[in-house]
Amino acid sequence: MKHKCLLVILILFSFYSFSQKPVKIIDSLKQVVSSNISDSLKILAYSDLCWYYRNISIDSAFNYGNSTLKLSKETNSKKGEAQAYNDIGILHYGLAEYDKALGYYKKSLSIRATLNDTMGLAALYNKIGLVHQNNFKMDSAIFYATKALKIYEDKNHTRYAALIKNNIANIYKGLKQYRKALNIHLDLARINKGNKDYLALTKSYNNIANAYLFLKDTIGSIDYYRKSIELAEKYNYKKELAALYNNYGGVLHAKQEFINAIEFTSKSLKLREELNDNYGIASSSLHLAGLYLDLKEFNKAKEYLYSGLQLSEKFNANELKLDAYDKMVSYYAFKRNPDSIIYYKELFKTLKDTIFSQQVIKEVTEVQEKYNTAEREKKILTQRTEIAENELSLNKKNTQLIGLGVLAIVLSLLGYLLYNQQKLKNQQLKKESELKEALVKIETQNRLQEQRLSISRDLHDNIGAQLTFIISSIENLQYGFKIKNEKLINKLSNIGVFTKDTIYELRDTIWAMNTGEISLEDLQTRISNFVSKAKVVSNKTSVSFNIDENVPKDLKFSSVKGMNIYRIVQEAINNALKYADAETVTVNISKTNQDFLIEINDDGKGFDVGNQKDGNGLNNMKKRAHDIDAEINVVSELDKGTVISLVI
Amino acid sequence: MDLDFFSLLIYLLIVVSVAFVVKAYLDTQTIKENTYKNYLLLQEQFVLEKSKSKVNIEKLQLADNLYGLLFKRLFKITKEFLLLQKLIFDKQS
Repeated sequence: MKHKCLLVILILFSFYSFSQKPVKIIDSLKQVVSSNISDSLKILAYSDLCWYYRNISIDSAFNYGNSTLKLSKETNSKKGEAQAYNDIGILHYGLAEYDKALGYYKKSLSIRATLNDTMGLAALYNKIGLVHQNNFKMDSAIFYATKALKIYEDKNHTRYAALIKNNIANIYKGLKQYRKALNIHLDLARINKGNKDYLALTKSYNNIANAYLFLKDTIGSIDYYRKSIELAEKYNYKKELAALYNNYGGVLHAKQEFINAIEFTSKSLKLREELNDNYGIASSSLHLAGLYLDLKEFNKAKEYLYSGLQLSEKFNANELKLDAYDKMVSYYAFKRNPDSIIYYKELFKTLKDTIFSQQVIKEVTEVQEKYNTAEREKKILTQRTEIAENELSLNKKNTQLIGLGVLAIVLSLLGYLLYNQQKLKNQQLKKESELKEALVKIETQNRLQEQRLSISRDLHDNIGAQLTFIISSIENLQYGFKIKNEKLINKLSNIGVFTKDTIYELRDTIWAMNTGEISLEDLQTRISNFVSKAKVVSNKTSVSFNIDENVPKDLKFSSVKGMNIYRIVQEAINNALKYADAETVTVNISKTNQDFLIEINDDGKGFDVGNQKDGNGLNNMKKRAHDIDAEINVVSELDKGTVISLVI
Repeated sequence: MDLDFFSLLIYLLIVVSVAFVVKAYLDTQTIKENTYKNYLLLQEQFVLEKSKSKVNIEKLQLADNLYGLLFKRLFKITKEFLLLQKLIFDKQS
């Protein structure tokens, strides 16, 4: 509870301390530290003491800064440690020990980065940027300032963002890029105007006027000085107003508007006297002295000259002292006082040499830094160029490698396709040649067979002629020699009939051989012919021939098959006529499923199939059926006729 | 992207190779088609010749059967004639 009360007191005290003088604040803080408070509060108090001692006693400030660091480390307070490093860095920065300051800032930065303290990080980026600015590393300065600006803009801290922008503008001013600096100040003025922050707006207008002056735009400069003065007068910003009057007086002096210049510079002096701003008083006094010298009002000039010189020497303001000595030389030149001229000239020379040597050292350092920076930038540029070249070369190599890879794949594909093509060609050629070989073989075989058939035809013709001659000879014998012997007559008749049968057989076979395929119609005609011949022998038997409608009209058999069917039917009819003494013989042709059925019925005397020894006729029929892969069935009963079925 | 001579050459070769690949593929297809047509033609001819051969074989079979039959019949006719001759000689003696 006690600690909480003290914390509240410290916070209230912190707010209150803004309106107090530093010495009073330091005393109050020391009282807080000496009381029995927690370590965290003590760290805060030490840090504040360090801050307030910064402008009073730098050693004490360092002492409190180190105390903050020590206590933070002991209590493992990372926040306190970061704050301590930050404070010590600020002290080193104040002493222009920029490298040391940078070291402490970076330590603080690493801790705040782990603590994710973005606002603390932004403050450090700004400070690091300022260190780089003072080391003339302008690129790094802009880099860090931009980082800080981004954080403030993200967090919508327009006031801090404006401050950073102001720093960036100063960097550009340092780089003599006045146009860029002017643009930033114009932007800031717009923001400040939007925020109605008139003090900042006054300062922005002043900066804009200065930037215009650097750009040698006197009209623009006067315009903004007037705007700024108007604002400062309206809101009574005395300090700013004094500086503005002095600056504006300077511009008027340059334009040789002496009266107006004296008026504004006098106003500046009066305000600075009110503000007790000794440096400002000296500056304004010397400015007025210069104006009166130009107007040749030497008494007034002397008054301001001595007053300005006295203050310059009192506060050791070298630049003002130099200005004062220079003006003294002019004054005594008008007064024709050579001793004083020599005296002030000597003082002027000595001081100028001192300043000059300091400036030379500073400028040499600056040039060296700039040179180093330029050298580093050059090196970086060279390295970047090398990297870019390497990348380009690498890209080219990659492109080539990819190209070669693709080429290899395409060539492999081409090789495969050509190989495949050749393989296909070979396969097809082999297949074709095999088929051609088989074709040639079968063609040769066919030619041979046709030759054999041709010979057979010649032979048949010859045999046919000879058989006809035998028949004719037998008939001549029978009728020419008037043979009475019955035995001889029978013998000759039998030989004649047998020979005629042989001729019929021969003719039937020749018919079958000359016909490639035997149609059902051909078969029917042939059987009909045979039946009509048979009727000559036996008139009492009627033979009918029926073809079922299911049987296709274009049914054709091979010559062998057709011939065998014809012979079977012929044999069956012959048996019915010769041996069965049948009155009716019927030949039926029908179709059952996939088979053809040829059925020969007769109503003759029949025979006992079980007891009957197969005669030549039946055996022949069975053999022929077997030859054509057909099935033959003989069904017969005594006095009930016979049915012979041939299934093909 | 700026290409050097070597890269340009590689990509040119790729384009040419691709063109050859396409040509090889189309050629293969044409060969396939032509060979198939020729093969079909030859096969048709072969089937025709085979059927012709089948018919010829059947005809020759018929001829062979006929020769067998003729042989038997001519033998029987000769025998009958010899028996007739004997009968005539018996009558005359």
